[in-house]
Amino acid sequence: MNPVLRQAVRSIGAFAVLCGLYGAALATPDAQALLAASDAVRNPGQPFRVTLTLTEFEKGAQVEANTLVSYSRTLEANGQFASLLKFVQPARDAGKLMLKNGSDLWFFDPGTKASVRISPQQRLMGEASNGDVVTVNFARDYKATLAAEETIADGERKQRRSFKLALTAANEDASYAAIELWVDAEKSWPLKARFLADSGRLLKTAYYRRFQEQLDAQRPTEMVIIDGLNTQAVTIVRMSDYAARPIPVSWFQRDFLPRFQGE
Amino acid sequence: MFRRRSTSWLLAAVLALGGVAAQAADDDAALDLEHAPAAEASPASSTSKATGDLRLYLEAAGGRLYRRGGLQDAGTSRLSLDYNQTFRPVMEWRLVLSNRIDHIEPVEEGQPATVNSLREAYASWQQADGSLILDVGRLNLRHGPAYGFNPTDYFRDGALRVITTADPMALRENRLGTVMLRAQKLWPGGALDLVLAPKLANAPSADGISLDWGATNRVNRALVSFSGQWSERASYQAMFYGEQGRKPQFGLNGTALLSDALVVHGELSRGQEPQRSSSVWGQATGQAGRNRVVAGLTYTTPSNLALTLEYAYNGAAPTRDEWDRSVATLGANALGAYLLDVQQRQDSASRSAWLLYATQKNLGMKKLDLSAFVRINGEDHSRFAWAELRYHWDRLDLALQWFGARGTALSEYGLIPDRQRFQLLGTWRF
Repeated sequence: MNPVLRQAVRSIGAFAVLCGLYGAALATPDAQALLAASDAVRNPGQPFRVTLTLTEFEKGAQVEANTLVSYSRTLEANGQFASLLKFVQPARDAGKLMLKNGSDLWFFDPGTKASVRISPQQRLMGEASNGDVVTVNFARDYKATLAAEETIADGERKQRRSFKLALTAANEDASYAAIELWVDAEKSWPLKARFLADSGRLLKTAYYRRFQEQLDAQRPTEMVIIDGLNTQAVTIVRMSDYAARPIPVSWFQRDFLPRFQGE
Repeated sequence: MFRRRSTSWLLAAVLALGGVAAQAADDDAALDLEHAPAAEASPASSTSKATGDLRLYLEAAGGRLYRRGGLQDAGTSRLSLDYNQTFRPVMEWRLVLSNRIDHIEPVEEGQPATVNSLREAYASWQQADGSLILDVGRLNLRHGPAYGFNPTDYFRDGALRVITTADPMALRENRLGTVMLRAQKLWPGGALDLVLAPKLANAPSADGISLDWGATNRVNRALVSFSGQWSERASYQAMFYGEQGRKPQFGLNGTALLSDALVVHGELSRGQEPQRSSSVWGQATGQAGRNRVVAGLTYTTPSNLALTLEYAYNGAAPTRDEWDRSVATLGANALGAYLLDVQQRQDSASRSAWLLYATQKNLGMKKLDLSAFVRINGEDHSRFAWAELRYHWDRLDLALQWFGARGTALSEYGLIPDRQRFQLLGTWRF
């Protein structure tokens, strides 16, 4: 073969291989990076305050409502978010606090002045677990693999092309043994998640919806949580009133709880 | 065979598809739900309420008390107004005021019917990042993670002017703070606390409207405590406590998360002191190193039933033999005096005791909570049980409470005159 022609064939071959590799790379994104990108959509990258309103439904009827103000920031020690939640409503719970810093979980009652260490299984707000209301970076606590590429109906019933990620707990701080997470293929928005127990049993399904501009990014402002056993038990968590705040690290320890006043 | 297997596969596939379809329908129904506007706090209101500036409630209770030892059964009633407010005149300062008024019928001998308890009145300054805090005034400083008896809660002595409930958790809401100067330094994962509480009066006051400095500040006291973490799942607090006329006490308490559902806690207080019952009865006993220890665990079931089991040891309390000998020589009145002293000091009366405490939120229906406990004297096996069913609306709680004390005539819980009580209680939060 003519050397020039041979060189041209080699170049075309190399280009084809590169294109193939590039295409493959496009088709199979890095699952962990995708998970981190969806975390960045759910959670602002700076210390922040957000108001959480939990409305609990049973068979379609509202049975309970709670309002909390959450203060969250990442800690240098572990890179994970720590959250301090102040109960606002109902009146009987006003002023109570919940602190989550990794596995360090505390409940403070201003009436009894008692700071009580609680276990993750202890629920403080109706059917919603403590993990549902605290800020968590999944990418730190879970190992993600790409399970499928699917088109699903999101929380507003729009059809969206998504990547389904299979998350398995990577450390003891993980609240769930496994999570199936659907992430929007174009925007990395979290769309839907199924939270699973060790046994594989479905604990709950969550839909992230009502994306709005909050703290310089489009973020979900509502989470619809459907109980895995009793699908008639539904909790809607509304996230509103996002605001960046200079939150000191000293807030996230038991000894500060009796001192905490919010803003 | 093949035919049956293919039929089974077909059935399984149909069932699976049916399950998926049913789940999709459930998800659809859930996604139709909307926030009730009333449940949603506006940003402005949530911000102001988030400060938790004012807590005010009115509580009314009525019931029937059944007594023993020839005492008449009686109707009981109580009206209480509970107020707590925090003022923040400037960013780094806050003023805290907490007061409670109880009117109780029938009146105990020598006690006023209406009692005011100024629980807290103090000023607090804190550095902007919260790492240094100074407090001065009457403040309620509580230590110890145990539920029934807190050996490391050194400011508990004399802190209860009125006992309105048998529930040890609720009792903590009523207690008086101690007048003190307090400095606290915090850093990530730990804190150092210095407390000086001066003597302000010689004895507690029986006057209902007294500020009662003597209840909490009748001797000079000091406390140094250091808090830290062994890990994210385990924390501790070490303390040195000094009191005029008493040998120093060393305290250690801690909690640890053992699993997703299990938390353990413990408290230890050790120091030289005489046996308490002998002191009450005017008998001379030597000082000896005595321990007060509590160890407990709390297990939470998937249905959110929280069960706490606790063992308490009090090395300053009489053993069963000492108790029996005292009954023989001093009579029941001496035991009664000892039990009153224990109650006033919020101590544990027996050498060993057990507590089982249970709480269940949403007991069979939403907004209905159950709390109950049983205390067992480990020496004489007498027992005290208490239970409460509480239904709550946004501002109103209605509760049905019961307690019963059982034991032989000269046992801890057989000796107390109140045998059983039923009470209906309503709480209105403003």
